[in-house]
Amino acid sequence: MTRHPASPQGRPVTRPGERVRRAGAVGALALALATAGCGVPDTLAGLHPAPAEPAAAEPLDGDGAQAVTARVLDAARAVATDTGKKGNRARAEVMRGDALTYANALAKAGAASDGEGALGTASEPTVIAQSEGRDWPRAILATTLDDATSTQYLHVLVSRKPTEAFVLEASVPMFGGAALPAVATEGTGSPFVDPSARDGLAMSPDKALTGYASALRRPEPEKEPKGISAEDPFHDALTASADRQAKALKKLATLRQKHTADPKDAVAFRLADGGAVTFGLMTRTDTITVGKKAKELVLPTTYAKLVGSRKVTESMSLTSLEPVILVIPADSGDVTAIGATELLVSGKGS
Amino acid sequence: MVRIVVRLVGVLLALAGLSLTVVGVWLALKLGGSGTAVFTTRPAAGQVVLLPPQVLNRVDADVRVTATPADGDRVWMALANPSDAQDVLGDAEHVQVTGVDVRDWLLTTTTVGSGETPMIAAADLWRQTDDAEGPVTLTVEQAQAPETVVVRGLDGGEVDTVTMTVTDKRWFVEAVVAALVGLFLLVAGVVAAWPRRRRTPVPPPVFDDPSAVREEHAAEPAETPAARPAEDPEEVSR
Repeated sequence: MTRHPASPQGRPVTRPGERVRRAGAVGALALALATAGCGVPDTLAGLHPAPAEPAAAEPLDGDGAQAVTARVLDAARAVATDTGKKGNRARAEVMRGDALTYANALAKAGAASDGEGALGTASEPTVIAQSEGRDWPRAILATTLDDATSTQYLHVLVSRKPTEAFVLEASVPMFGGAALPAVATEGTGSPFVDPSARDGLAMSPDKALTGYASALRRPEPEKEPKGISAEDPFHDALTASADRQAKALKKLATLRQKHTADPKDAVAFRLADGGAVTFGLMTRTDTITVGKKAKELVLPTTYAKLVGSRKVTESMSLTSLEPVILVIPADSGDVTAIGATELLVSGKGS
Repeated sequence: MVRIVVRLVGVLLALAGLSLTVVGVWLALKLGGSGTAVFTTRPAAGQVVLLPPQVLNRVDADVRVTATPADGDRVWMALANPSDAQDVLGDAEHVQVTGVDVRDWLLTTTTVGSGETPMIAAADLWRQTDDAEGPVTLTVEQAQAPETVVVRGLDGGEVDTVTMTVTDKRWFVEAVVAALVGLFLLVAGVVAAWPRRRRTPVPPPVFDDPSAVREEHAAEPAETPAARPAEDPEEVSR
C-alpha cells in the first residue's frame, strides 16, 4: 500500500499545478531582472554633460588660421598697386594701422608695382602663432618668404571685434640671419601685450620704440639710450648712408636725421621666454640745411620730384616711413631690432 | 493579508510592465533598426537659430544639423566655438535651442536677446560655414566639442526648418530590451495577481496506527495452522 507524507497540522498540500504557477512567476521575474541587468546602461540614452570650453586655447584651429592668413594676404596683394583714393579705400578694407600707412605710401610712390614690399610677391604663408584665449582683439603672426631676395617677412593680422574679419596691421622684413625667438606654446597661443604696459618686460613696447628711434638719430647721441642696442644691420645701413651723404655735401650743407616713433598702432606678442616681440612704425626726417658757403643745392631727380623743385637755397627735408620689429627681453636686457625697412614718402624744400 | 499584498504588487508590476512594453515598442518603431532620432524646429520668420553644445555635444555620436530655407531663399549655417558664437551675436534677438522633446520629436527653443542681428557671416571666427539655396547640412563631430551651430537666412531669406539628427544603434537595442523587460514584468505581475481557487485540505491517510491495521485485517480470516490443509503424512516424514 502506498504511503503519503503526513502533515500533522492538516495544512493544505501544494498541488503540482500551483507549484508550476509559482515557479513561472518567479522565473519570469528573475528573467526580467536578469535582462534588465545585462542590457540597460546606467544612463539610458547615453547622455552626458557637454564638455567645457578651454579658456586658454587659440582662437582658431591651425587650418582656420592658415586659411584666414592666406585670404588676407592675397586680398592685400590684389590691391597693393591700386592708386588714388579708390586704391586707398580698397586697401582700407583689408589693411589697417602701420600696414595701411606703408602700403598707401608704397602705392603712391609707384614702388608697389615694382614688386617691392612684403606684398610684392605671392608666397604661401606660415602661421607662427595666434593670440591666446577667446577674447578680442585677436591676432595671427605669420611669415612669408620672398624667394627672389631670400627675405623673410613677418605679418601681423588683427581682428579687433567679433564681427570684424582679420585685417593686415603690420608687414615687416626681417634682417638676413635674424631669428625670431619662440613665440608661444602650440595650442594655447601667445598673449597680446599692451604696448603701453611694461608687464614684466625690460621696458614697455612703446618705450622700446621711442628708445630705438632715439638711438638711430644723427648726429649720433653721445650716449646710447639705456636698455637699447642699435647694433643691427638697419642702424649700420643708415649710418653708412648718412656718411655717404655727408661726404657728398662736404661743408656746403649739414645733414641731421631724426627718428620719431609712432606707437599708437604698435602690436606686441608675448614670447615663450617672457619677453615680447613688437611691431611698430617710425618716421625719419632727413633735414639738409644749406651752409653759408653754398648758394643753393641741386637735388637729384628722386628728391626733386618729392620736393617739387630741383634746387633749394635754404633747407630740404625728406620724410621716410620705417616699420620695425623689436624684441624686448623679460625683466632686464637690451632691446634689439630683428627687422626693419624704409620708404621715402615725401619731401619739402625752400 | 499576504495574499492581498502579493496581488497588489502583481498589479503594479503588470502596469509597469505594460507601460514599459508600450514605450519600448513605440521607441523601437520610431528609431528604426539604425537608432536614428530626428528632432525638428520651425523658427519664426527672420530669426537666427543657435544650437549650443548643451544640445549638440551631450552624446558620443556625431550630430547632423540640416537647415532648409523657404522656397527660393538661401540659408547660411556655421560652426563655431560656443563663446565666439555668443560674442558675435551679442544682444541680438535669436532663437536658442534648449533641448529635445522625445514625445513629439521636436527641438525645444526659447527666444533670447532683443537687438538687431549684426553682419555675422563676415566674421573670421567660424570653424566651418556653408550656404545654399537648398538644404544645408553640417556634421558636428564630437572630437571637436564643444561647438555651436548658427543658422540664418541670407539676403533677407527665411529659414523653414532646422533638423538635428542623431544616430545611435544602442537606443534601438535599449528600446527592444525595455519592451522585453516590460513583457516579463507584465507576465510576472499577471501571474502574481491572478486569483487562486481556495481548496479544502485533504486529510492524509494514517499509516502507523496499530488498531487500524488490526481492523484492516479483521475482515480477513485468520490463517492458523489448524486451518491449513492437512499435509500428507507421508510427505512430512520424507
